[in-house]
Amino acid sequence: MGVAIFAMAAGRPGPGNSSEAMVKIFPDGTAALVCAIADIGQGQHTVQTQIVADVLGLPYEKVGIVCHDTDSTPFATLVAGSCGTWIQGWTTYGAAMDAKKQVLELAANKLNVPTEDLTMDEHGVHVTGDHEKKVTFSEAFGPRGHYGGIHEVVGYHVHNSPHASGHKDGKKDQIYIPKEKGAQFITLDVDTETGIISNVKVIMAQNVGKALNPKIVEGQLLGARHGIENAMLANDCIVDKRNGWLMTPNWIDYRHTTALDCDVTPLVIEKPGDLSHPLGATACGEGAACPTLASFSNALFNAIGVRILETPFTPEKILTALGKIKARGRKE
Amino acid sequence: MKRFNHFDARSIEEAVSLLQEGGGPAYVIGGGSDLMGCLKDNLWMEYPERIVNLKTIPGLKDIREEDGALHIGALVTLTELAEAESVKATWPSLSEAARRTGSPLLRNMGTVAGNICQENRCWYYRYPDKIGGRIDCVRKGGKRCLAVPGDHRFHSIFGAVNKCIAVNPSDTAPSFVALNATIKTTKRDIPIDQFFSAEMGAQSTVLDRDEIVTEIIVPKPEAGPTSAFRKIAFRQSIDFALVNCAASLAIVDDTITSARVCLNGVHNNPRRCEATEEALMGKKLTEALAQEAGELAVADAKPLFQNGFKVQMAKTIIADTLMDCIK
Repeated sequence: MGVAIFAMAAGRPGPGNSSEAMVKIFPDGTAALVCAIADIGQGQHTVQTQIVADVLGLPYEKVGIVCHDTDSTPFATLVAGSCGTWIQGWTTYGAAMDAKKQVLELAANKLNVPTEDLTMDEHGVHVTGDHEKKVTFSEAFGPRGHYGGIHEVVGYHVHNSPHASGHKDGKKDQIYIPKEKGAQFITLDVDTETGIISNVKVIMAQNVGKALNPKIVEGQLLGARHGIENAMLANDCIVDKRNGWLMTPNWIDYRHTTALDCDVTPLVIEKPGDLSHPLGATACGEGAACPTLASFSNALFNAIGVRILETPFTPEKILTALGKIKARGRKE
Repeated sequence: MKRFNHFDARSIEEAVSLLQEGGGPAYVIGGGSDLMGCLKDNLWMEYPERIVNLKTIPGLKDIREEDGALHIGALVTLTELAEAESVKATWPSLSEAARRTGSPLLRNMGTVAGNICQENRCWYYRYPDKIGGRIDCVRKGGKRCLAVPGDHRFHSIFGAVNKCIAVNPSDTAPSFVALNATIKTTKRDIPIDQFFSAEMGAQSTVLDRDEIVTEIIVPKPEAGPTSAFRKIAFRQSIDFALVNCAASLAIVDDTITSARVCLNGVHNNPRRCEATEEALMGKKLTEALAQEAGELAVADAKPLFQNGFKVQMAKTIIADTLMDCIK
């Protein structure tokens, strides 16, 4: 078995990581998030709409997302550096708060109470603590026709990272950087006669602050699998150095693990309270690949008693380390 | 991929006559899992203008026992071979070899005849045409082998044939060699020991261009089902073997009366280990004898700079496979 712990500073909290978002609330009690956040499987569309639903007090099903192209949506940060939820999350939160404030103001006029006393939920706006004193969204928006009325409320927010709460002791030059932190445990079998590694089991544990969507966070932690591939399957880009040819240009020679080779169990540890995010989330993503080579190397060392410093841990290197075959280039 | 004409043959005779007709080179297609890859990567010196489909011919998909032998139709898929109860009981090495080939998708598509007739593997030979143009190695009619001075970590450890060190990757081939099968074609019956022939140029078998495998006949083991198959690969599924091995023993009163052992993935042809077989004859199989037999099989190995580890794998797998036979 091998263990490794890691901490990784994520993202670029400095200037340049700005992001914008727009949230619309409609008289029928639905809402839409308009932003350019990309989603190629990381789950940002789900998480950002979750944030909007949470802020507005609406069910998740009533919040849509408009993310067609960058011409029609406000600019968004990239989903990278493990910071999609962290940076864009602020922006979405801000835009939803802006839209909510406007609707509460409309309702406050109708109910003749200050906005601070009002609460929004899926039925409309009511006085906090008194569900009888309420207006529906439609009533709050007022009469609408072809020639007038309020048809939608638009909230907008620009977020320049880092947020003021990310300044240490209020000093602008000391910026809080979200960190990924966790530990990884690996068990494996090594055939000392053939050098083949099998039966790899991984437990990937990470403190993620607040997991806004635990299933998606688990998916991020499964990324530990890629580290395993680099460690054991010799799936590096093998190049013919004499001619510059890539010898692994297909999925036969460039290997990925299957369920039979590697079993990753994600362990999401939630410790909310990270002040740098409105909902307590912190960075999560790349970190899963961080500790894998170290824990794999430790597991290998504990199994065969020899430390191998160069990845991938091919059968050839293992057999050479065990003295079963001669190192390359050495004459008998 | 370039265009070709596709013909559905209705009988073996029609398939043969389609192959013999003029009008450019023709190839047969069964499962197509190897053929399509070869066509996409444009491996061959002559691109086929016609593909003759054998799947439309009735009667080539049977597994039956007859006259004390197993008759496997050429179009039996690897899944069907792996799951046939009679094969599991009497020819376990064959069943296991079929089970360990490729992935479920490939086993559902790939046929047993296609598996033993597949092209040899070398990443220079199979370099995709679409990336910077094909690499003209010796196997494609070029002047020299590029793997010998290049990256040959997965190549032959028993020297070259016609300057080429591409390995035969089939998993079922060593099992058929160990079980002393006979390959029945439209022209003749070929003993398995004479079937594979990398010596004939850029093909892995002795088949003529207009010759089609119709059946594989595997005799019943003389003294019970003592055969086994093992495979070493990076992954538990999908991968081609780094080294695989099949062994078939006849054991009477604890004494080995006949033995056939075959390695694959180590040479241009499946490699029968005759020195190993001789050493086993007339003896009782023990752990020590199995180890010694493994050493003998690789005594004449000539590993290259990068693939010495395959020698260690080969001798280990032979010892392990032999012990599996008496488990």
